[in-house]
Amino acid sequence: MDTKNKKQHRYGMVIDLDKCTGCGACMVACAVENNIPPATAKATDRTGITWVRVYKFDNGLPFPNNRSAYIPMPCQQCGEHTPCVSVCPQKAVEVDAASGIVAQIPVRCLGCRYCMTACPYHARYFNWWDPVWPAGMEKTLNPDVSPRMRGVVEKCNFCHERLQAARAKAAAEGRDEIDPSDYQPACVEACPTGAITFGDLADPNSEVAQLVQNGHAFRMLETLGTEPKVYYRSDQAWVRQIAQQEVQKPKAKEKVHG
Amino acid sequence: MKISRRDLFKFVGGSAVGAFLTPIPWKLIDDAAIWSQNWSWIPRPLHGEIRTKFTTCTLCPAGCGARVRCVGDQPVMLTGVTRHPVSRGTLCPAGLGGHHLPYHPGRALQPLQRVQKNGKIEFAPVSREAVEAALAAAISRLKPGTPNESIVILDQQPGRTISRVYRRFLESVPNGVYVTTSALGGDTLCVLQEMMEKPYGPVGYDLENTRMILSFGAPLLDGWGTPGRMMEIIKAQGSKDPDYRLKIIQVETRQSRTASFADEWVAINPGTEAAFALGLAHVLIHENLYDQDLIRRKAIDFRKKDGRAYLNLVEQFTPEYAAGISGIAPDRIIATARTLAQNAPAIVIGGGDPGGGPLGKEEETAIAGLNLLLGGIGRPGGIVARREVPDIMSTSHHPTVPEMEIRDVPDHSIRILILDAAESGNALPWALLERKLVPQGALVVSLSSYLTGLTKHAGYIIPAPTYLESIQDVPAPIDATTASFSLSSALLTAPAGVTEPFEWVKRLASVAGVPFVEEAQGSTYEAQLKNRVETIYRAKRGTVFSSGDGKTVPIAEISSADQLWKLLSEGGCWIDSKAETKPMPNFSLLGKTKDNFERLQVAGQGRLSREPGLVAAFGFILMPFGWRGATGNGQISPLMTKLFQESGLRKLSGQTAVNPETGRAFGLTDGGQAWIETEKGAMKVEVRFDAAVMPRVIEAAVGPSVEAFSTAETQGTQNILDLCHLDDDCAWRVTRARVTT
Amino acid sequence: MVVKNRGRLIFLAGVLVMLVVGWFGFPRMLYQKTNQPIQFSHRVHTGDKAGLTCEDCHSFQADGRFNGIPSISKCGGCHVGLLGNSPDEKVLVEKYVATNTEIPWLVYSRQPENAYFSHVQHVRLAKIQCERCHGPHGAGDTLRPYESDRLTSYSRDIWGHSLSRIHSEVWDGKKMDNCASCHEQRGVSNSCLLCHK
Repeated sequence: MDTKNKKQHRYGMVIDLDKCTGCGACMVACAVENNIPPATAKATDRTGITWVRVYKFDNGLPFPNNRSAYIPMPCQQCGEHTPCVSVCPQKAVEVDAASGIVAQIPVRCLGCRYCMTACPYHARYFNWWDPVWPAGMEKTLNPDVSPRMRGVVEKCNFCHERLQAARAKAAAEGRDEIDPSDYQPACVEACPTGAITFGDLADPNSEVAQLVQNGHAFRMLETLGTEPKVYYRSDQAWVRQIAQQEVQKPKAKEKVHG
Repeated sequence: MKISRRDLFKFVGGSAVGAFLTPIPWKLIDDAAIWSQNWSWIPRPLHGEIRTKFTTCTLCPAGCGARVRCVGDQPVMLTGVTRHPVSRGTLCPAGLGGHHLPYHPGRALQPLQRVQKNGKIEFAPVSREAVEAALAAAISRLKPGTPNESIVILDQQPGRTISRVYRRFLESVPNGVYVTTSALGGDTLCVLQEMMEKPYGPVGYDLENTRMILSFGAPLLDGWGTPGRMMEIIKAQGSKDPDYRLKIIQVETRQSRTASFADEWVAINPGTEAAFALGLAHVLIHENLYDQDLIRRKAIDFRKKDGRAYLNLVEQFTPEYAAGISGIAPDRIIATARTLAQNAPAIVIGGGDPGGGPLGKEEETAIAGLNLLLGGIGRPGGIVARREVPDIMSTSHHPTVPEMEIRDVPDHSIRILILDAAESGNALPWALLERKLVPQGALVVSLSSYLTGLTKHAGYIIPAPTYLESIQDVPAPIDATTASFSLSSALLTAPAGVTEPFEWVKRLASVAGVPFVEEAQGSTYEAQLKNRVETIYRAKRGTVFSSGDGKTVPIAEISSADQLWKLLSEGGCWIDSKAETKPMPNFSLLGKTKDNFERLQVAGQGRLSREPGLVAAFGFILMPFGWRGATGNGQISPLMTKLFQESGLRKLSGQTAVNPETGRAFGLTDGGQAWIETEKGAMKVEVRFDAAVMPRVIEAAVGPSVEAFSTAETQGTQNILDLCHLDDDCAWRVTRARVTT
Repeated sequence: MVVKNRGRLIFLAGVLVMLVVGWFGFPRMLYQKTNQPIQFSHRVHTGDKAGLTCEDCHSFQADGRFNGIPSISKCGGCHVGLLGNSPDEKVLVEKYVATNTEIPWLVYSRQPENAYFSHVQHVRLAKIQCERCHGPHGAGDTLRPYESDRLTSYSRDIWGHSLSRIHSEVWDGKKMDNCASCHEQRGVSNSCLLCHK
């Protein structure tokens, strides 16, 4: 197995905000897949753990012209200038060369939360408590993901264990490359309206690459130059605008805390 | 030789130096690091063979297919089943966490009795025999022929095999009444059927072929009907020709998810749906946009000589008049009516919000009337007939026990109330049931698996197995255009203290000394279900979907009833063939209730019209709302904290929203606390300012409390529904309220 | 002269005592030995008698998932009744196969929860022999006692039997360094995500 000669992938997603109804299926599927525990009674939206969080936005107009939209925010999987990687004193974060996925290794993390400060998307979460499941519910944990402990940071990794499973399947069939249909993160699989499209941005023929080209696609806080691999799209101008305005609106930003 | 202190130090020094030449420090440093990565109290996942099983979700009547990923036999993840004919590959957030429910901390694991201890309500263990004896004694005291002393079983998922068992049991006891609640998505259909002169049989919405939906507050995109079906339509929207896309107009006071997503949101005054519907009818008739031929031939009360005809009713509701009540401009009412007529086939759906509660019968009559005016019944893209799931009961037995909706049960008439555990997805306030119970000495028994919701008010609890713990059948969802039938399998063993409702009814019948006629269909619940599957097999109709390979085959290709049973118990689904178009009977546009004309006239004025001065006095109108997954009386996965507590995506009980201007005018603060006070009491809530809220309205969430995720909700937690005013027609949609800090 | 070197000797004695304690006593204190539930001879199964290969029992599923130690049904496939006359086989047949109970094997090479290892990629794609990491395990006649670290509860095989980890056998030791150095030699990525879950 020589990964050096392997094709470099850049996994990414395009989230169609015109199809997101804000149901929350992605958030639940993600928590089930990644062994994220239910909140303790004290946890709030500041201290909870939701690798993908769906935020509600509105057009700012008064009743009855007010309109809302929902924006799922997983780790935006930044490209070259990844803020979290550059600040980690522990080398617990890196960009995985083969997949482009920003890797967070909780066992290596020492819990300084510098990366959380650095992340402009508030997509990183800190374990304020040890994970506790109601008695018996720990039997429902996913064996492909290890539970974390108190004091470490975690975040979305595009369900990397599913990429591993796809690689194993490819290897069993003697293939070097995975079948793209074998690798879908849990949120993509769960989305009932098919709002999330996932694939390899490096492959110009992939559906994601096409969607990025087809107009009305944008990324969050593009001016920061973080080059995220999570794209959004909407045919509605006000939805596109609000997602871009986030950086200039301190109040809105405050709402998007982690 | 004398050993000096100096020697000792030298020896220790040597050992210390020597230690660095041994693995001790290096290995211990390494081990200590590893030790700190593997705390013993961090749970470890089970490891073992990964298996895939299939089943059907029973958490609401939709009956979605679920693919179950298991480690060994332990379910660890649920996902949708691709190509499933009912759920079309999706599961809702509640369904995705269904495999956690057996471990919910609020479970009841043995029979319990409600007791008062030091002024507090507690649930103490009790023997099953004691509960049965108490019930048998109460049954023996029922005097036959006194309908205001009834025994009721409340079944929120009718059509199941256990539903039949309940009905047959009720036939054996005096004054038995079988009661259902309006299912989400079915309200308008039920009223429509009542408007027919002769029974028309079950009907469903042909959503796939319709071009427009006018919805009166139905949460179309947030768990309505069969959620996967609606979601598939949304999925397909983008690829469709814009001219042929499904158009959705949402008529709702609140900016719900559906309202936000709809092509148009008609923000209507609270409780004025009937006025808007009658206003639309006025325009349709006035501009000759209605199905004149159908109305002429079939409508019995369109025109009448006594001045109490539909036409007379609608005449009053000119766009201007309806606008004055509903707050929607006359032009918009006219435009909406024209859009409805232009976009035929169009469907008009009522129902309302799952937390806000159903619309009243008169409102639904006005809405169903629009469907009749548009001529959408029995046409592709409209409301079409389906057949019943083949059943022994429908073929060989005519029920003698009345079936009625809870709102139609006479007040103060229920002596014994048995609550089945199944969920409808709609909220049901305890006040509504309390109004139906006899004032003194009513006996309430709950078969719920959880100490929550209505069960908190029950005298006894005989907990049933929960989802995935017992075999159950799932009949066709209420909105479907074809009948269907699937099974939910027992993938886990139920705990020792729980009782299958079938077994319990059987025991109760024997203790009460009444015949248990259902024994003929099988002595165990599984035998009963097998019997039903055989009935379906013998009918030789329709097709069978098998979850394993995603293929659908005609039932003729299934070799035996056993083979059908096997396919169904492995998550398969039987789907009926399309029913033939039935000739439509004559119908009444005003409904069949006594004084229907007057009642509709009153309903048209809006719910708050009777004492308009009071609105000003109270200041606010309280409107509860909720999400189908969490408004019912069951439990949801503890992981739902992600949606309710760890993000603001859905609202917890006690969270409210007001318009910022109203809020400021009343001295409220964004994020602050306030008291809501109604005629029923007061509750402390958290107030959020939201520009989407109608001025003078306070929207209050019907949902779980933070405690509901980790404990049994036996007391304390107040429900906003306890504050709501219950109208004469058993709706609780609008309540006058004071909001103070 | 004796007097002159006495201090040094005492110092050296200290060093010596510590060396003995550190190299011989410490491992005994650190590791707890447990015998496997029954004895098993790989040699009998892989040799001329049964002629099985590793993958016959330690097989892959179609999706590439490694089954690890086979389940009891695999053993029961041949051992319906006694095939030989070893007392351990008798236990196998009577206690486990007959009752369909899994044997609680102690896995020498069990990695911690946070590590991911894909057998199929190493065996099928990289064509690495089982012996490269597991040594001559498949030729052994007995199962040695399982030794677990009292502090970390890891198997001794993870650190390796040679406490110094110098010049040990190539398969001795399955720590991250062992994986990483082999990846380095072969020019394979050492990305964190590749092996951590």
